[in-house]
Amino acid sequence: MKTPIIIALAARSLWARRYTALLTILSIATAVLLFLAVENLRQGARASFERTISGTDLIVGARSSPVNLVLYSVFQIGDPTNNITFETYEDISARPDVAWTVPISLGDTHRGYRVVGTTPEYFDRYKYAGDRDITFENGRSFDDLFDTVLGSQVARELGYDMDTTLTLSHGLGGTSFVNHDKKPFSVVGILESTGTPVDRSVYISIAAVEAIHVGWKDGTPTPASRAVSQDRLRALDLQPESITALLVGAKSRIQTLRLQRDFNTYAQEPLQAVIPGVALSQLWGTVSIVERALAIVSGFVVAVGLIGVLTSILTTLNERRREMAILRSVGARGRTIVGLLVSEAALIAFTGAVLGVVLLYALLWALSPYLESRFSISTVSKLPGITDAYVVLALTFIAAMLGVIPALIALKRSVSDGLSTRI
Amino acid sequence: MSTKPVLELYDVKFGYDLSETLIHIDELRIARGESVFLRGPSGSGKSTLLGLIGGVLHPREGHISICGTDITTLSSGKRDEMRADHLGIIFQQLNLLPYLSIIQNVTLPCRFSSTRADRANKKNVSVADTARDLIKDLGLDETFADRKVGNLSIGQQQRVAVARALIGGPDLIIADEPTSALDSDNRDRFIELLDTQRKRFDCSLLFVSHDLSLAKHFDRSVDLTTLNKVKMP
Repeated sequence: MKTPIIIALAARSLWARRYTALLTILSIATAVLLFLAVENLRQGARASFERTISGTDLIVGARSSPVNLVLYSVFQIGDPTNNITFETYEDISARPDVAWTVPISLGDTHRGYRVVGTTPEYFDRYKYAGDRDITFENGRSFDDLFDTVLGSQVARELGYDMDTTLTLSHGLGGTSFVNHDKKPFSVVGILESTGTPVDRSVYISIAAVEAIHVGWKDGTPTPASRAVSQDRLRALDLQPESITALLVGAKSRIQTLRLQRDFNTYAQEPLQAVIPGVALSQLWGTVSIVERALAIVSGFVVAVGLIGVLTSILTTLNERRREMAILRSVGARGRTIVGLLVSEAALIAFTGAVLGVVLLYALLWALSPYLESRFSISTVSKLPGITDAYVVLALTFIAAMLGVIPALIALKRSVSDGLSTRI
Repeated sequence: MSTKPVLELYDVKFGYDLSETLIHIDELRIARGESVFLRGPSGSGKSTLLGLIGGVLHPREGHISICGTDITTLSSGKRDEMRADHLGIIFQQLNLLPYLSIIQNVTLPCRFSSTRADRANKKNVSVADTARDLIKDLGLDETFADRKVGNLSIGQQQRVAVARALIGGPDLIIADEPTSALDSDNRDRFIELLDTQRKRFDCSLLFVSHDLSLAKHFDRSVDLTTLNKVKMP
């Protein structure tokens, strides 16, 4: 026993009761695993969320709530309340303080994935995770009217490759009874995975959105519309009358607020302009209630684990009175008895917490490809960090503090029991 | 070497609360090297008296001196130190910590008392080597030293307990009914072995038992029912 006597005795005493100690250690490990997993996934989800769009100064759409505008224009969730006219788009694009604009036109889907009508400039201007560009895993941007570019998840999950032919459905719902089956598109590009809603989008040109709706009346196709061939459509001037939203880049960042005010008070039609970062924070504030609830639940699990440590020591106190009497007889001070039980609680908590951290990162390592592909959570840490160290230390400290309770009981009993082992 | 008695009790009164007195002893002295047989039936206060001598319990009145130091004036921590430095204690049975090896059990007092560790370390012999010698002297196979105590017979465990009590040469060995679990042959052999070894280390011995037939082995016999003025029902 070269190690300090208290730690050595605590470790050996625990080893002698290793099966019950192991169960307590496992309960702590599970609690820590759950607690840190929630924390890790929360951070990963938040980081993935916040990195969804960058480099865009303003998103402009028909007047609604900022959150709704971000949801349908960036996250491909929910429905736009209205469109904005193409003249407005041109008017905004022509402003001297606007560096660039990219139109977005929504309204169609392909097998549940939203179709985004836009211009090739979208792939140059849309940035995510700070300053990362959208890049092509295969192919190029659309050139022909019936070219399409697929997000990585769309291509992967539907098994599409270059030159695959696909048709679109009208409407933003998961199921549509109106298909553009006479106007097939050919896949000319597949994007690299971004961990953003881009992966779940099908991109076509804004003229193509107009083309597949030529001849439509009141939102439904007419017999004449079905008769229009793709070649004939290619020859038409397909400037749309309206678009759903537009991404705006200001010439100077400091002009963003003035631009936002100008667009929000636009006289020709009611507009809503949002700064993506601000809207994303608002949106996260809404959805983070669930994350906070999960954190609270996992916190309670940790508390239950710690109470388990306390219980496991308390329940053995009576059968360990002889052990305490022997220790007292060979000269163990009162503080040694207290230190022994406090050390046991700390050792259980420390071992459990370290095991929990190890299990967590083993799981994250194994599951990260799935988390990335299924939930776009690609920023979960793969190695333990300072937060994990703090959690391990905090748990060890709290367990040690809880260990003072059985320790004081044992000390009191060791005094009343004296040096007698007839207990 | 000090000629002071290793143990002196004067006018000691003890009770767990003020309304009761369980122990009232006018005087008890054990001289250096002396072996004393303390007889007392169950419930006569033997364990309480040992708690007082060991400094775990604190008397309401009176003085208890170990090697000339009045432990009633010391703090609880200092009394623990006195116990670690000057006393070796052998219990009735189940004396040993089952999760430690034989050698770890024997050397345990030296982990709590630097005085005893220093004494065990004399002549550049390590505490562990001293413990191995003791184990051998007490008739145990020293190759067992690193084994857990669980497989030893009760007699062997008691001899390990004697080795633990003797290591570092404490001034007083307190043996609390150490032979009650042994048959008569083993009991006599155990007492002879204990007496021989404690003389080697110049330790005094306070042997507590209810078995009057054992009194012949000791220098002096004291009856606790006479010594304690409080009469138990």
